[in-house]
Formats: sequence, structure tokens, C-alpha cells
Amino acid sequence: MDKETFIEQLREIVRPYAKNQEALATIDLSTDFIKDLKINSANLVDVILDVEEKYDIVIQNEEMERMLDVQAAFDIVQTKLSEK
Amino acid sequence: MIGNDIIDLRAAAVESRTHRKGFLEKLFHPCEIRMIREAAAPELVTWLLWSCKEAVYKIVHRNTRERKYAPQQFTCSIEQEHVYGEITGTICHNNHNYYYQSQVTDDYIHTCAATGDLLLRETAVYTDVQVAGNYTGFMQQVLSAKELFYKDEMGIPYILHRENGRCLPVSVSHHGTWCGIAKLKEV
Repeated sequence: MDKETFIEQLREIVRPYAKNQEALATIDLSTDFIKDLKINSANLVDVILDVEEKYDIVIQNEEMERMLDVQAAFDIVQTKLSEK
Repeated sequence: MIGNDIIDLRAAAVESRTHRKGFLEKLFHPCEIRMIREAAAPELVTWLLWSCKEAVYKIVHRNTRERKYAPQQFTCSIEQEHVYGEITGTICHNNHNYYYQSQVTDDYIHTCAATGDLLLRETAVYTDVQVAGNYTGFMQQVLSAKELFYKDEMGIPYILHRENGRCLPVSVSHHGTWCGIAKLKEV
């Protein structure tokens, strides 16, 4: 999956949880879920669960640990999909 | 070191679906999930335990400066439930025990954690309604005229004493319409 497609899909996943809706428009690999999108830390688990559902993957605790920005999410999903 | 976390229970009920598949399993230890499921008010215990993890995360983050989303690395236990909605207990992280005290009301859960039991007792906890997400006014009420609130380059908050130049850690938390502050009591 290319970066652009992933970012478009992730934008829709995080939309319900982002307190900073304006930042959704400019989301890129460097976007931080908490600092930039102002996603509540209790909602970060929803992003992770939604990503798991969307791509039919299981994210382990060690991977979840670093899933704080778009780049990390992209890397984790890419790796998981390539292992399929 | 001290850390605090506040949860607006009305906001939490709207923002999170704690019953969704995987929600508890990703955030909590099997023993914590058992505590939640066996509780008379599972939702309340979910947020109590979450606030404990967040309060200690703030202490750990202040020490390590490392950001991590690893809630299962914090294990909470409830030791005592007092009258007036006060709950105390410990939280274990990386083989280190932290002590917490939570105030539970119909509106919010406010948890303060510290690296030691004595330090927890020396910590003053303030709770207030925040106006439009702004806690400047509330902070001003909490600080004396000689104290100045500031955040370092990583966003970690401190209080600077204008006269003796001493820097003390302070913890700020906000969620929904509530704001919490924890700072060391004046000696």
C-alpha cells in the first residue's frame, strides 16, 4: 500500500477522535496523534482497534507502545500486511 | 515525583465505548479486567484504573522523557475505599511501587500519584471546572504571588519560585469540563 492511500484511510479512522479537526486537513507522516490531532490518550486505543479492524491485523503491545504518530502506524501496518 | 490525572465522567461516557471488543484487553492487565468485571460499577472502575495509569505515566515520562503508549506496563491495585469517595492504593511499574489517592464524585475521578507514600501526603490536590479549556486562571489561584508556572521544551510543567529560584514539579490535567492540579504543599 502506498503512503498516500494509507494517509487517506487513516484520516477517516482518526476523524471521530481528533479534537483538532483542522489538523486533519494537513495530516502527513509526521503528524502526532496526541500532540497535533489532540486525540485523548484513552481514545488512542480506539485508533489502534480501528486500524486492526480495517486491515485485519493484530497489533501487539510492543508495537502499540510506539504507535504515537502516522509514521509509526504506517510502518506497523506495512510490516503486518507484508507478513500475510 | 508527583503526577495527576482527571477524568470527566460525562465526557468519557460520550467519547469512549469501554464495552467495545478489545478495549479492556489492550489497556488493562487480566487481573485488572477481572476487577472491572466483578465491580458493582464497572465503568467507574475502568476510569479509576485508567486515571491511575495516566497519573503514574506522567511521573515516568517526567523522569525518562520517553513517550510510550504502554498502559499494560502499569498494574493498579485498590487497597482502601474510604467514605466521601476517596480511594487509595498502589500502582506498580517496572518493579517500582507508586502510591495513589483518588477522589471519585458523580462528575469526575481525580487521581494523584507519587513515588512515595509520604510524598503523596505532602501533595496538595486542586480540582476545578475549567472555562473553555483554559486553566490559566485556576493556576493563578493555586500559585502564590512568588510562584511562576512554566513548561519546559518538552511540555513538562514546573513552578519557579521568583525569590529563591527553586524549581518544583507540578502536574496539570484536564479533560472535558474539569481541570486538576497537584503540587507540593507549602512547608
